[in-house]
Amino acid sequence: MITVQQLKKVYESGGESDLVLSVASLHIKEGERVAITGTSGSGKSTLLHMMSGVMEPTEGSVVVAGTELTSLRPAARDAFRLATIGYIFQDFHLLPSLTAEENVRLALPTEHLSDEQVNRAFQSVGLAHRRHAKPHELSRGQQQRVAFLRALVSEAPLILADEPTGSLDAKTARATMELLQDLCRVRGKTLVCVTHDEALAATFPRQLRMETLNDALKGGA
Amino acid sequence: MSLWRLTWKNMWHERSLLLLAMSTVALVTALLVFVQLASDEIEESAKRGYGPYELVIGHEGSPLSLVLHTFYHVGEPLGNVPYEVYEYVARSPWKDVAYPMTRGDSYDGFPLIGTDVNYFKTRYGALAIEGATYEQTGDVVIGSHVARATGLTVGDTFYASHGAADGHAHDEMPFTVTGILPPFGTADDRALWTTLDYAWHVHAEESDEEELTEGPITSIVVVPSGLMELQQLEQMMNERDGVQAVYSGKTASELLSVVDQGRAFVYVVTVVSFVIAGLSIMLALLAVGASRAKDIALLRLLGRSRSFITRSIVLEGALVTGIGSLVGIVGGHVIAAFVSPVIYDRFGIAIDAWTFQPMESLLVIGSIGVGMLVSFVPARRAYRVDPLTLIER
Repeated sequence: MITVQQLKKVYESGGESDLVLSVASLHIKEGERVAITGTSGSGKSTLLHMMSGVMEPTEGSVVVAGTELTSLRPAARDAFRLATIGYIFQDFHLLPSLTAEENVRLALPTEHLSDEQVNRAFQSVGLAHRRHAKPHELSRGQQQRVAFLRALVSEAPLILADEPTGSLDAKTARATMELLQDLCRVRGKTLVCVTHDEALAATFPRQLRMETLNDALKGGA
Repeated sequence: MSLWRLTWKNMWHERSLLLLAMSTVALVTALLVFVQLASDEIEESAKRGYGPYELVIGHEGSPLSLVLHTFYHVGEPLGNVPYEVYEYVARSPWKDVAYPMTRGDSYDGFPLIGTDVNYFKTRYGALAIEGATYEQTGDVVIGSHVARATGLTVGDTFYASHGAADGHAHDEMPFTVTGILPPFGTADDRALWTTLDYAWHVHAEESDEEELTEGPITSIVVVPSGLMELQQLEQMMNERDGVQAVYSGKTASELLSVVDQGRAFVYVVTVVSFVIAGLSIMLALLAVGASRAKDIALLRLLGRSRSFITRSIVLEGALVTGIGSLVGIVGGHVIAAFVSPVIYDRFGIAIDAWTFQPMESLLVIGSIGVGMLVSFVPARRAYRVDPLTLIER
């Protein structure tokens, strides 16, 4: 699903170069559920952004679902992201002007979900009775579940989650992470989850540590 | 989610701010529509205001005042001319027909005018009058608008007042309604009509003097026998002391040019108002855009393209002005419907409030164009939003 080769990210500032990410090689198989952990500033979010095509690498390649992202023009990368990748954020980021259902439909390239399909999706996260509520009418846990649905309900094969439980309490975070993994497993989606919580990362079948992955942290290039 | 649905939901979420901007557009549009309706009708009224009476003769003074009070029943006559002036015109070979008029009294704000009953036949042809025309002093026929406004019907009696509205009543001489005229679509609908001698009779009653059979008259309306004859008569009358003769059409054109100047001024004010409305929309969209920066970044992260975002903002601007102009067009016609009875009562101009004009569709198209144009700045800003701003910590 994802293949990264000789990936580097350098920030230029005041005439000085700062190498923040250097990953020699990384491969994530289709259907895998992977947690990426590391301390703050270890480059885990930067790696995630480059996997989604939102951030361009300074060097190297990122191939997602057989497509080399760096070869795509910006508009094509946007379209690819809409069709291929579901995004989950730490702060949920639901649009306040839309209902829960409309926020879920926001990530769909076209309006192809039937009412029944939407209802089943909301039932799977226990929110069938709240699908017409606005975000401010939902609890934090409910908002996060809506954010999950937004990422999962489309046909996008890859889910990228950036600290998806960072705004939740420990108990809710654990339950939410279990739900996320179950939903991905049932739907056969590939899940890459960035988290600083080692305990939550341990629930994933595969864990990657940035301290091992990112050569820039070792002083390598 | 489609572009239209997302745009509509965003607009609804920010409706307070956008409603203000929309209201500005609606108000300006309503003003423009109302002015257009009123000025069109004023122009039409001015054109048909004098009928076949190409010349009007009266006391010397303002030509515009003479035409206004004779044909549009607006304002008061400045004086009278001797009856022998009419006799001279009546004997003249330069006229087809000429009718003298006396005025000075009113009922319930509507002028009472004495003239030959054939004035109507010459101007409007055969009359389908309800009741009968006036035959003797004290008989009155009333215009259709007077009948509606006052409730007078055939057989009713009333007392006229001296002057425009609140003068003393002539309680020595009652008038009896013998007929109600059909609607003519001119200022004649808002007048009461009686015999030429009513004014002399009233004056004699009041002053206890002997009644005159040929007293002073206010104006003479003339259908000339030809163009040369018209000019001859006009010249002849203007050489007499205390008398003026005025080409009705020429003076009506001068009235129209005043109306045109007024209309042009209103157009300039409206254009300026439109510019201000456009700026207010741009500011509203900028304010809304600033508050939606995170939403825009989210949409970009989810994979919505830059062009999707900018199209949404431009569509929003177009909808604000488009809806505003549609509401304004309806509003302008509603205002005209409310105001037209007042204008008709005061000036005898009947505005057809529900005539929709081709200009109005251009107004909507133009408004949408303005909305799209002023959306350009906020759309450019949204275009440059970096999606990473949403998630950078």
